[in-house]
Amino acid sequence: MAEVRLEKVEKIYAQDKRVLHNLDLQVRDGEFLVLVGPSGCGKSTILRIIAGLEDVTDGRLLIGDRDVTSVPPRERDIAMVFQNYALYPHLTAFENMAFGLRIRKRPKPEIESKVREAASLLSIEPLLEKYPKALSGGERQRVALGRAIVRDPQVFLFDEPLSNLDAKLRSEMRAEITGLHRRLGVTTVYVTHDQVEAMTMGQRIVVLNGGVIQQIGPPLEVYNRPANRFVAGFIGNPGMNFFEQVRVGERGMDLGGVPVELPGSSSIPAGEFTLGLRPESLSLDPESPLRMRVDLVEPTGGEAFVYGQLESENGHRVIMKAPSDVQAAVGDVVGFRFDPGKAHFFDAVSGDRIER
Amino acid sequence: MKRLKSILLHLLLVGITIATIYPILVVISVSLRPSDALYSTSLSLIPDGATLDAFKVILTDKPFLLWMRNSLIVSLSVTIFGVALASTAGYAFSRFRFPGRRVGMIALLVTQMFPATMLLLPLYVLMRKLGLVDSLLGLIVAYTATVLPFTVWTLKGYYDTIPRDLEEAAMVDGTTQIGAFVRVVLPLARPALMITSLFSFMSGWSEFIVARVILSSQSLYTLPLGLEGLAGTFQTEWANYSAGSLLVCLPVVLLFLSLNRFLVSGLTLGGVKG
Repeated sequence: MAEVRLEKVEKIYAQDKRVLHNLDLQVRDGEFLVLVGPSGCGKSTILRIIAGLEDVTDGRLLIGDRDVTSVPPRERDIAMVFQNYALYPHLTAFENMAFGLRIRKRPKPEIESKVREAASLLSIEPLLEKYPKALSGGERQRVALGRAIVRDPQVFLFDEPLSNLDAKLRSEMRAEITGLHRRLGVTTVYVTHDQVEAMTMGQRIVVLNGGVIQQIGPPLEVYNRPANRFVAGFIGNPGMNFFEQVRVGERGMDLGGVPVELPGSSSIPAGEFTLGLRPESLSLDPESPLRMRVDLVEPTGGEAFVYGQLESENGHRVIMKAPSDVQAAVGDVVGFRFDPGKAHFFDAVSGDRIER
Repeated sequence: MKRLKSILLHLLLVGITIATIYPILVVISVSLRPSDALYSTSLSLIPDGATLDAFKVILTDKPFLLWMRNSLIVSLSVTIFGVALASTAGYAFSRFRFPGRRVGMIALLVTQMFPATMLLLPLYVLMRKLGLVDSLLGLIVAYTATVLPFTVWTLKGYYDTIPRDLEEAAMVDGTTQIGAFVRVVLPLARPALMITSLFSFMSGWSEFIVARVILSSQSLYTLPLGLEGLAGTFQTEWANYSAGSLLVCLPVVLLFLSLNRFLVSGLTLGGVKG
């Protein structure tokens, strides 16, 4: 086990395409760190740099205390699980798992016992003699995990390992991977574009956009105190409601022509901001002067998402998370209120969070 | 209607099959004829007084085994060198980006546009300068050079269908790039390697014109040259000639039969990505 440190890492591909810019990142010893962001944000590049599959243009990479910036992948003592599993099709599950140990010329009995041990940990013992093409997606993923485990590496790297699985299997494997991490305690870097995976699996998550780190922190902190408008919009499903050009004064604010009281607003300098409200901090209230016209109700079983537009001149989109028995139909104009304590404010220009 | 179509189709196929097999049967028939019945017009496949004398003559009185040895040396060497060079060159073209990659690929393709006979004279001049005229090595070099464009392209096309992730997984697991190539890519490319091996072997085995130009010593003759020598200027022992032809075909037939299962998938390789 070891910590992983990227120092001032710069990655420029051909044609001057800059993917990472001056990136500093520390993965703590034994930590489960999730890199999350939209496609093209550089998260996979970071992972591949740690693996040694991509060179850095500038900067340093340390695993433990060792500078591995120009060390080939095979000498970095890492294991990686790929999105499409990357199992060797010509080898059985057992041979796939044993591959790394055989390359390292470990004694046969040791290989045998390590593979069996990992197989029992993942309950894939009956599959060991099968070839990858005879395995289902979930089974392949387990074998790929096993191949990483037997190596006993200092760092685990996961590159969107669950994105090829169906929804049910995905949530099972989520639990399995976090369980494995708890048991083995190996430093883990996990890349995903799925913010549910990020929220549920990571001890800390790193939100990336355009090759720049937007925020690093425990999932709930990122959710509750997003550092900027991008993070606020990216984390959370359905996404946060944004209301542009909201004027905040001493007493409160003006939302689409409706004055709203805002306790503690005095800590915010007066001016125009972007207001952010999570769908779950909204609720129906017939008495409220805030009105929205409903254009879609999506029941999901336990709850329902109500989509609509603010009844005002600029007609902002509003999404509300409501109980499943919500009394709202398409075309209705309903009143709603929100918990002012859970309102987020962002600078209208930079998008940075305004603390209050 | 459908039935009629099927019958017609089968009639056509039967016809083509007979047209293909008949000459071979005639060759077999001729090879079995006693020497006094060479010009017999009998149509029976197994002639009266059938004999294996011609095979005996070929194998004992003629230097057939020497030609066979020469041909084997040439064909096997072409196969080994050809596949070794093509498998690595194809890998480089498939996986690495380097200056001259595109030009190299196209240049290889362009060489395929010239008829082989056109290259004969320059080839001879080149061999002469290299001192490789009248040597089996010269023949091996010439054949290897002519099969490489095809085999490089075929293998490159096949490698393109093998996901890079597999090599990356192997490198993370502890191999070098070359280790990943040997342990992961080559085993997966087996169908393509088989087809290129077969192609390389065949091109050495049955080639006549280049061999005729490069070789002059009788002791270096390959099978096609030797066979041709059996056809005399004034008189040809057709039974011997036929028997020799059949013996030449035999190894190739056996090779095809044993690699049968790779052929269908292999012949379509390179063109289509999986």
